[in-house]
Amino acid sequence: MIVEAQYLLQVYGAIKNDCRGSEDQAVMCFAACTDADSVCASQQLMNLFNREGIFFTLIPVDSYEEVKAHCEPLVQAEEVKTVVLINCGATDDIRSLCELPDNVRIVIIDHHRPVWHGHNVEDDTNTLVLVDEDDPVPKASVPVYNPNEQEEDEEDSGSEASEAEKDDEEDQEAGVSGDGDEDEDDLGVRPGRKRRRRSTGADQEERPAKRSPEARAQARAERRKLAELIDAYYSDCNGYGKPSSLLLFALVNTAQHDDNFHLWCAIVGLTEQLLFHQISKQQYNTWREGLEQKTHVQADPQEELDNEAANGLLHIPRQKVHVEPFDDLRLTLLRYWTIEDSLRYTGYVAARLQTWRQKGLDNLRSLLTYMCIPLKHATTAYKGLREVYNSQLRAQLPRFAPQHMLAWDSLHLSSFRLLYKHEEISASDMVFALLGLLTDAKPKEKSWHRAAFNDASNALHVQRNLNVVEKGIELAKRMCSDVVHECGLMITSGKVKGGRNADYRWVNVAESNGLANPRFTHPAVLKYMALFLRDATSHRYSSNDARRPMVVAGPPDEGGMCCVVAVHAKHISGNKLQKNPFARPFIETASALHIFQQKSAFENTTFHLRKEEVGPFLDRLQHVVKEYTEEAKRLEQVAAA
Amino acid sequence: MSELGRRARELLKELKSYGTGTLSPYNEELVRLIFSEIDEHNSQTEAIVSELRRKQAEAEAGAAGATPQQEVDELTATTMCLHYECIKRNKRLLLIYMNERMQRLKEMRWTLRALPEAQKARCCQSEIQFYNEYSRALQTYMSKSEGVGMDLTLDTRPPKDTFVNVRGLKDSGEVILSYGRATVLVGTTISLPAEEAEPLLRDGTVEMVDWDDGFGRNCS
Repeated sequence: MIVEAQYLLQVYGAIKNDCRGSEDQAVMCFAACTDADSVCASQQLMNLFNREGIFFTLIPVDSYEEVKAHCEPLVQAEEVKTVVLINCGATDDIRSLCELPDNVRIVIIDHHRPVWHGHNVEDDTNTLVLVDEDDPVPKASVPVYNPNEQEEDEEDSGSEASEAEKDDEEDQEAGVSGDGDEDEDDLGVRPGRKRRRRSTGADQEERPAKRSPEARAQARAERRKLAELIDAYYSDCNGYGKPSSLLLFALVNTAQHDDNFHLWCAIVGLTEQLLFHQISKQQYNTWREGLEQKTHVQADPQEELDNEAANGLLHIPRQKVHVEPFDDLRLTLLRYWTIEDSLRYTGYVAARLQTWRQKGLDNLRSLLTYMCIPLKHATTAYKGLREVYNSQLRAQLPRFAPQHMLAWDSLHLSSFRLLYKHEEISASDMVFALLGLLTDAKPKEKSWHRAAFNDASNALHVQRNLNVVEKGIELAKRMCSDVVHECGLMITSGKVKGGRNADYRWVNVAESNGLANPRFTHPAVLKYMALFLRDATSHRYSSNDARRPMVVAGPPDEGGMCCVVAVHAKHISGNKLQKNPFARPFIETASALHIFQQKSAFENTTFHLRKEEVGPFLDRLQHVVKEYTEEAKRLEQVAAA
Repeated sequence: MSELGRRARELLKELKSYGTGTLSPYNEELVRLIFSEIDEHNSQTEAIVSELRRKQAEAEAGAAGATPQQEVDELTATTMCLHYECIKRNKRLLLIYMNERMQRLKEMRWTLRALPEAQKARCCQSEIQFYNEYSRALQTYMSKSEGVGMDLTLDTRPPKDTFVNVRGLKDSGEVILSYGRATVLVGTTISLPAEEAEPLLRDGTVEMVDWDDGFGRNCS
């Protein structure tokens, strides 16, 4: 069942009731350990559970196989249990995958889209997928699941006699489980809970005992229409929805547990999606404005009054950490780098100016000179710079950036910063710090991804783990510079395949020097790399319409598995989904080559393949994408005709 | 005289080889030998000092009225310093030995709540006496009538809440807790009652997660 945000509190109430009414009172939480949003969302949920005295186990996971392995003890479980999935599970039939019995309630908070349409069953209160009303793919756009669709397809090809038989069977089943008047909101009712996907009451009432040929034809037409709808849904709705941390912030807000910590987590989750082009800028601004209002609420004006009343006496502030909106420059880790390095390794600037080349560096220095920032100061740590250069950068960049092929709109954003004592950290810096920690691959350690996830979780508690944040920032700096240098090298040495007019471009990192860098095995780094390569290659063709989707295959990890990721080509304006066209081609290519995935990622445009499969996969993908493009052109012509 | 300070070093090495949770048998023989070494150094020093005094007295008698000669030749001064440093070193190592054993005995009182027989057999009489007195003092402090009225040895760290969050340090499989089952794996976070977390924390299966409720609300 897909649950909208207005029922969040009921879902939470159901989780609490499950815990209190069961012998096994702990909630099992799985969090995808590949993105910062999962870190933030899991911290919010843990915080809420801690405050309400709910026991839990949090397991960071990086594939469905891992989820399945951890769920094995639940297969035979008899007591009621709740499993919460953060940023995993929405796109798949997780219950069947993990063979979970009906007494296990699954709550899915996932930003990956499309939501598997099998979750859209009103009567199924066992599997709850939380999707907000303002999600780019709202509940209304998910086709309603018809559990009999497969059987009916068979029925079409079968004889009339077999149809009658089946109808009888269905009637019998409907008779057994025909009490389909369960209240939608009554999620807390657990005993005797049983999935009743088959008992859609309306269907049973309308269905005749024996169908006439006209009725069968009509039913067939309806099924065909539904199949087309489903087909269009899975073709067009691949991308990202509302960040899970934002959704959980709505929950803690409704439960009146919200504070600056939850607000900051939501901000970080949202900023990550913008930095990775997973949502449009308009969509970001819509959600950001909502959070901005919350910052005013959390600012607590009473504190100022208390300060005045204290009259110099010892005063302990209520909120030790302050979050405030501000207009930030979109330069990567500017506060922790030098101005030159920050400009040089910011994806957008590097792609436009080609800063991996000497000419690009010269352009960059020319920009600095125009802005009256001496090169000596541009190469000094930003924190040690005099205030005058900081204000000069902010004042002069809007004027001189367009002269250097840089759009001012892409160089600044309305964001937030966190103030703690004398420290200040912006939301984008925090995202990079978390990514730096999450992608710090240690191939020799067995469970390094869980350790990385825990480090990132610790980093969110800035006030006591500032050293972890600083470590993350250093790692992020290395990541950004590695990406720019490696990608620059790949572009100059012609490793990026697909020309100016190709349907898409692709690169295999294993064929470059990046092979030895364990960081490039991480899907988040590969996505960052793909975005950079997409922009950098399009600017080489000096044309606005030269931007193409990008596919990047990573080098093999210690287990011989390579990660392949794809990013979309163009920004879709408005509060719309940023469609990734590669979900279906990837699946088709894999099935055409009979590739069985040993490790299934949580999103459908990230594939893990064995290193020997990467070459054939990339080759075959070209044909599949070509077929798709031809089909799309044909449909366009038909529509035009 | 043996190699300078070798015995004291051996004594500490022996204690170190037994690990932090256990005691080595109290090596009375080696301690006695170290004391005798110290005595030997002391007697050597005394001999040198008496020799010096004798020379000084002779000089005073030989040249009555003249300024007495206070200077000591380099060899004598170095020898004296060496003996003195050896005494200090042996004393220091012996004190470390005693202190370390004392700390381990205290640790046992806090973690095991009683001195195991195997460990008791390794203690000398004065150590057993120390342990008993320490135990009695702690007991009095924790008693209701004279002290705080609670068992402080239940927690290795003062609890801030009735529930704590812990993180797995090794894969130790399923554990049965009062509220159900939980699987302890490396990197997984589990919330559980503080008293149930204590044994897992003591045997190093899990570590405490420094949790604060939001931004610094629950931190010190």
